[in-house]
Amino acid sequence: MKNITLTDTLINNNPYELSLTQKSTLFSEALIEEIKFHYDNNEQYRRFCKNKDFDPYKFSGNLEQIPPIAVSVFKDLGKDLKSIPDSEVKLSLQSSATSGIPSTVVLDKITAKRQAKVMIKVVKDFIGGERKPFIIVDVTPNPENIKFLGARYAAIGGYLNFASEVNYTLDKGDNDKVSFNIEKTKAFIDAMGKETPMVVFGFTYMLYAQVVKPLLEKGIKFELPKGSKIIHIGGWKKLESEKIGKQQFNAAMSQLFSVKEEHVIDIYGFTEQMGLNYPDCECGWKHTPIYSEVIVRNPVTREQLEHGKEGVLEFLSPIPHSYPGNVVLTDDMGIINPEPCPHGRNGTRFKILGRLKKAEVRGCGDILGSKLKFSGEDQEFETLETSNLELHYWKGKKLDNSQSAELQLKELIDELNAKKEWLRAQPIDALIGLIGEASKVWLNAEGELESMKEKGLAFLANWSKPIHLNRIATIGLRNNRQYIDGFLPLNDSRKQFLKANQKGLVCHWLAGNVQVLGMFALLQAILTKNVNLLKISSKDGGVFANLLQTFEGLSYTTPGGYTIKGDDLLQTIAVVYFSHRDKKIGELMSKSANVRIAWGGREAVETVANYPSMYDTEDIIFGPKISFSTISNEVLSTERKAKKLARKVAVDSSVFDQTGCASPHNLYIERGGIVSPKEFCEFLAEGMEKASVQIPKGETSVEQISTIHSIRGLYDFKGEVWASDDTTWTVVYSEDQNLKPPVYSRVIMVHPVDHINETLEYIDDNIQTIGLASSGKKALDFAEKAVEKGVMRCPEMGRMLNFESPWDGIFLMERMVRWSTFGGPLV
Amino acid sequence: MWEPQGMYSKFLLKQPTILFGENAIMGLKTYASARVSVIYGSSLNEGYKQKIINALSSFEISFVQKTWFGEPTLETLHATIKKIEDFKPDLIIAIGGGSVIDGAKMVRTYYEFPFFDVKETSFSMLNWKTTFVAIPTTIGSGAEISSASVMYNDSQKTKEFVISHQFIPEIIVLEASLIENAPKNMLLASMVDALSHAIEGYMSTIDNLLVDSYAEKAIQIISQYHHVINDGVEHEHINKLQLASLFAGLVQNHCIVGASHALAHQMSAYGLSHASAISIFLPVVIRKNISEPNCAARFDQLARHSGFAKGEDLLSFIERFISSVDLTKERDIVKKNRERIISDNIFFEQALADKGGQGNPVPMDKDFLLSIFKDASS
Repeated sequence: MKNITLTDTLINNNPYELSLTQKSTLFSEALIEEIKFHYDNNEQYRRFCKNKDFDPYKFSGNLEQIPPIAVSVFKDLGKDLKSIPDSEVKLSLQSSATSGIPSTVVLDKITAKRQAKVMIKVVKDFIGGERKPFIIVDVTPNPENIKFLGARYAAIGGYLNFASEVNYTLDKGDNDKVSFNIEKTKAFIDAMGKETPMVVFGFTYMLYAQVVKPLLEKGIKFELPKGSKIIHIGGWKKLESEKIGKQQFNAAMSQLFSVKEEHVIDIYGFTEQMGLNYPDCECGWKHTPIYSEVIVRNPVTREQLEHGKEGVLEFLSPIPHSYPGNVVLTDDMGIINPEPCPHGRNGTRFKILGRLKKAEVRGCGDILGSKLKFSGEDQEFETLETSNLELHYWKGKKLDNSQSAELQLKELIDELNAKKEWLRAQPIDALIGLIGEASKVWLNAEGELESMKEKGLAFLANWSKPIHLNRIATIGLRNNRQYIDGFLPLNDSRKQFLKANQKGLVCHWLAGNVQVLGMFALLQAILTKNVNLLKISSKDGGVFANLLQTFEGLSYTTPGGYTIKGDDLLQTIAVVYFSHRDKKIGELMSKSANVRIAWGGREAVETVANYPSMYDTEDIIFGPKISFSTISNEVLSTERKAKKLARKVAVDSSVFDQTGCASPHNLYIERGGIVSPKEFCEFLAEGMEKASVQIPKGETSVEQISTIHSIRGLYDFKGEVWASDDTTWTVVYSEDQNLKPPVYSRVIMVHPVDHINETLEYIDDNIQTIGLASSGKKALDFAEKAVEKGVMRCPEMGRMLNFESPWDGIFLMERMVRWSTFGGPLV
Repeated sequence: MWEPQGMYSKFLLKQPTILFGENAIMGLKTYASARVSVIYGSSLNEGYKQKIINALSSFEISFVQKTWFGEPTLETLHATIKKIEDFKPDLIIAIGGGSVIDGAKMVRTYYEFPFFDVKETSFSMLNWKTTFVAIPTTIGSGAEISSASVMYNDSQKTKEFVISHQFIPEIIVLEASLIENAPKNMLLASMVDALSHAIEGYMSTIDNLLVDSYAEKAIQIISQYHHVINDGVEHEHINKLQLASLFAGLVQNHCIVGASHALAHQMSAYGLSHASAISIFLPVVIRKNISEPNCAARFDQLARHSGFAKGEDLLSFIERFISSVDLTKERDIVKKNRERIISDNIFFEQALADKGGQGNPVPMDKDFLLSIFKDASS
């Protein structure tokens, strides 16, 4: 057995007895002693400390200066994160994973003992030292139920230490359906008599689902002896959707079991510091016992906040010995109350306010698990609603808005279809010229358009220059854009002639992430002389209307004197919004379409795919895709070249804040160049900094910021991190190779490889673009193999986001016309 | 136009299809087209119109008389462009002299690329969708093989060169029958223009071995067949002169020509035709250049390779040839404006800046051009 540690001494004390001044030295010394132990025995932790410029042997600062470990680290590294030899591992603990990936920690004898000891000390302080009858709101923890119980099994086991008699209230039926056994519970309560107070124990969400909800409805009530308490653990995560607050829950529980409301005790705890429990004190707050301390940090800056301010909670404790879980930054939001407890408990008072929401996946990287979902029944439609038709932009005949949304849409579609003839008569070059006039306005980006500057407006402006549209139209229409104006020889034949014709009504379902992409499709639909109905995303924010407004009052006259007016063109375009849950109106739009275009987002794509359409409707679905970049070593032959390339990678990773399908999230770098993958990261960091000036970043949500901090925290462990002082950009490096899911918000994950071809294994048809910096036969071989596996484009670095034709495997214009012939055929 | 490319030289020999010989026009029959516009100069005889109609297999043909006079301007091109835009041809024929062909090149450009801007647009991303056929009715201008289109800038009184290999027509039809009835004097002056292209191109600071042989061959043919213009001999001989003119045009197109052109271009403001102005300056320019020994040697070489004994023989052939051209009216204009031009700084500044004359083998300055002008106008 080892010597008595400072921690062992610390945990001999009662949890809430010592004052803060008495606690502080004891606690800090014990904590630092543990941290030194991990520093000496855990290589990953040592690397983390070095990355964070922290040396426990030289440390003399305050607790908040010890770098915290994000919970994401325990999710990702879990079992590998140990400071003890394998022979000492007793068991590994996994969190209940109510949200996403579970955290895992490994326990040795020392840690397990400490955990048990502090848990008993804390819980005793709330429910008393003697064993009591327990009503456990769960199934019996017998072997056949272990799988069903999962992580609850261990927790129940822990609390059995306090029980004299136990009643398990839930019966498990078929299909793991459980029900509350009222009779059995009543019998148990009667049998125990009125004298001995009892404890009702369970997981919060089980209590809610199996007790509060069903029993309240049935009007059932139990009379527990005086002094009985209800303790519940597990947190509120699963209850978020139920919209029930702690207050309501407590009130309901107290009513059901005839227990005082202050005796309904919510116990907070988390896997990374298992054993440390934080029950509600009668004062309504939780206390840190002498075994732990809590700090509140600003979720954005990660600076310590003063007491009374809401922030993310960080817990410090010397208890974990087998893994470096001593300073853990949770995803939980909370607040500290500096006032002393009226009930005489010492220890920092705090409250849990909820969980820091994980950033919603907003980009194209939200790839579909299976494309087959397109054809299946969609559950979305189970919750239908009727919505209004919001006309976001329409310059044609005023619609009768006393009509139903459906009738209004029908009228709108009729109006659009009536404009087909006008559009058909416009020469394509006049249309190109008119859009060219708009491109000049877009390039200036003044007024309402200014906010679009960082959202690709400059690129759109350049893309829409006549010289470029001419090229796009030429490529798109079988090498002669004038096929759309009339019959011309087919393939130089004197006998057979070809003409392209408008398809009619093109319906667009737009995504909110990269709005400008929708514009590329719209312009090509115009050039093919189709009328357009656009259903914008709820996140559009007026962008499309602003872009179209440019055409108002605009006109273009050809050198020969033909004039086309923007206001006339606008009569062929309508921008609408309606809820995607409104099946009727969505179907009407779909059934009227001659061409359906759905962009990017999973929601749009799935919804559109499920609508009925005419059998000959052309579907152009730009589904959700992700992209990455690959650099081979021969292009890293000089520092100058590497720096130049790094700037280009930085541009790709910054444009649209990585929400594009073509945005890279992972970067693979071949070893063996003059510049190593790690050195490249340094150049990339410089590039990202420069790009942050040239391409200002859009707004970053608190949730997104939290996600960025998590990933940085994780890579402080796994590899290395280069990042802006704020959360603008992040470059992380680690030796692992797997394609990591996108984090967005300018986070680029760098991995070294021995040969670029190793990255081929990550390619399937969910990968749209690979930014490729390679040369010669190696580059060609890679590109050929990559496209065979499903990739659509292998563009140069720095141009990954440049919309080109073909896009995502499709020549858009060619799909928006009908081809007809005259004369011939030749054979 | 040949362009210096730094480390290497690039010689782009864009070879149009050349239809020549009796009934060359019938060669158009094999080209696919739906609608054809024929842009012609001041007149086009009915017989030839019919010939064109017979030679085409398109649905519709429109004949459009050019709306510009002399060198085209955007304003004078406008009415022609409108007719072309309305008709939407996929094959355009320009039949006429240099001005018709050059103007039609611009008409086609504005028709296909309405957004075209002389100052901004680069052709690197553009490709024609129409087929352009040039049928020259004169010999010598070289417009049919030239990468330059010339537009006259009204306000600046200067010529603006729009240069791209894209301007070289896809098809050139050399029909002797169209030449035989042209005014003899005009044809003679045009031949001097052709000679000047070969000579100034050959002597140019831009040395290009590949086109040297075209220059030599052009001079050789012209010296051998020039009399056919006066004598009115067989079509096949006229056809030879047409080819010689084309060769000379090709030389000009790759090697920037010299002082004769720099000065001649400025004379259009005084109403002189390009060819007459060249006829007035060319011999003086040659003499001035060959007073420099290296140039003299080069000129000697050109003379020998094109069938003369020495440079002086070639020069006297040129002088004799020019003397057969009636330039009375033009020389009068020059004499009348002599003093005014001599004291006109802008005239010489523009000549020095003229993009079409910067290949002169002896570096040009104002005094150099002034002394040439004085000699030529005395």
